Amino acid sequence: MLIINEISKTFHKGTQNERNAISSLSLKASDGEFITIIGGNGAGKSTLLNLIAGTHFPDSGQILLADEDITYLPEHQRAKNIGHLFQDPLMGTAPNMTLEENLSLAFLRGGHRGLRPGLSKKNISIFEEHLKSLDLGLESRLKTKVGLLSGGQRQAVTLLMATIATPHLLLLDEHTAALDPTTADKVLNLTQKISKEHGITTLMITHNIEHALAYGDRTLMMQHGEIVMDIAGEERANMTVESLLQNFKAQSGQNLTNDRMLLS
Amino acid sequence: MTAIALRGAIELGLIYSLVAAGLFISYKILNLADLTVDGSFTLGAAASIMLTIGGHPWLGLLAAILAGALAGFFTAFLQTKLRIQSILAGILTMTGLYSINLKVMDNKASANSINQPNIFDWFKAGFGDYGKLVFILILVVICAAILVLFLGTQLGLSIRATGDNENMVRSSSINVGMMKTIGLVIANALVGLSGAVLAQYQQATDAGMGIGVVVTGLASLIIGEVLIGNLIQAVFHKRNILTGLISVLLGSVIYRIIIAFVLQHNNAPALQFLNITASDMKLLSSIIVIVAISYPAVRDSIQLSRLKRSQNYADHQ
Repeated sequence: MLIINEISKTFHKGTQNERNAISSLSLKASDGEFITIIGGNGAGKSTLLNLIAGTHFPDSGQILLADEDITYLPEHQRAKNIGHLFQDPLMGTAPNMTLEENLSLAFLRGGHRGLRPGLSKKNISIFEEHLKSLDLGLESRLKTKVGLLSGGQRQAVTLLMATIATPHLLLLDEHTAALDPTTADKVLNLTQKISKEHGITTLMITHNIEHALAYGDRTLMMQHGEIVMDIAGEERANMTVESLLQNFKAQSGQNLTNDRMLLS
Repeated sequence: MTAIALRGAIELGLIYSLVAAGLFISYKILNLADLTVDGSFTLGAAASIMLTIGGHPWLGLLAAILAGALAGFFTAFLQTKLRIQSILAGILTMTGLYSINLKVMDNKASANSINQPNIFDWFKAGFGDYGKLVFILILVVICAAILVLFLGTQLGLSIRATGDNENMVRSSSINVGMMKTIGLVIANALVGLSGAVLAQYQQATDAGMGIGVVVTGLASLIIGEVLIGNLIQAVFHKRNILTGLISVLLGSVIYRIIIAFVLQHNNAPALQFLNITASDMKLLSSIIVIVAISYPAVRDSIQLSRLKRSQNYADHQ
């Protein structure tokens, strides 16, 4: 369970560039819930995820994950329970290390890293099984340096690394935006499958409104650092891209769409 | 080159190969240019010579390892906790160490331990003229074996990943600052040990003996990678931590052999006009490092200008 109580974040406080990124935002996500987040540029979507992940700390408010107050916990410590994927498929893997070495590091997440051998036979058979489930033929390439894989393959591997030691929470920041449509769909389906199988609470930012409505159980819309729309269940099931855009305009008096959203 | 000169060059090369092994961790694996090395090398030497003079040569090696580790820890602290850029952090530690090294050497610019028992005695008694070589070789092999085993552990993997992609390491719940610290501590412990062995080998130290050690080490590292690393890849089709470390260690030996060769033949007609002396070696090291590191940039710009020329040619047809 993720509980966010009235968090705010202002960048460059007290300077001309002062920007209010998140203003007293509250959110509750129950265990296993898959939430998609949409919103225009600068709406505060990525900042929200970064505050949860610990890249930035909020100016005020509180973040609780599985009953633990993580508001000011250092990033690497809360990473034990949080998987975080970014748009850039290169960000989540170490290119000069092999697939099995990358997976080993991710597999040890949350545990102690000591002087035991970094690779073990037992773990490698586990990795093979997981890689098979990706259905990308990667199970035979454990000794390959990750830098030699394609962007889509690397993002799928990153997704696997983020979830191989099951986290409480998965944060996805437009993680399929840099992939071609076919690969993006594949990674998205994989995301949904992994999230459901392990019951991982998931927050996914997307600029693709269709994806936002098609995947997951609940959709949030953000604007000026606030949640301006929060739909689930039947209301969400009946929502179309057009009605969502109209809804947004009615609520905020502005058009949501920018070129990127229209084109995708 | 005479057998004695060759043996001397190999001995020196193996002693300095510990510096190259240290740089293998900080420069190759962690991707940090760690200039602490110039200071921690002399620190190790000073600690070693003073304890040798006091009658404890073995304790001297241990003290040098610990002192080097401490120097590495300090640089890492500046980088990770006080957020000083990595190059500047190294320079600050190195500069501060210059004064500390003088204090360790009883406020004198040099110290010697001639006629004092040292770490080589037992091996000289057993192996005669080859005693020093045997001892140094054993020491280097032990250090290299420990290092390779360490880099294969969970902790070792985490350190390697830190140099490769910090972001991935952080999201795997690894403390990046801690990994850099451990890496720099081990690197400078090796450098301190190298200085300590050299001090007892030449039975003398001086406050300036560490100047340029980092550049010499980088030159060795590059020579090793280019000559030995590529050779191993061509023959065994392998390039991993073990072959990388072996390349770097042998690179240091090759570097010293080249230097010994050049110095011995500096009167040869081909080299005479350059009038190379021992004092030119630092310049030579710098040039080797510059050429090796700038090679990709130079190659790319030559390729680009060729491409442009051929395009112009095609356009004017």
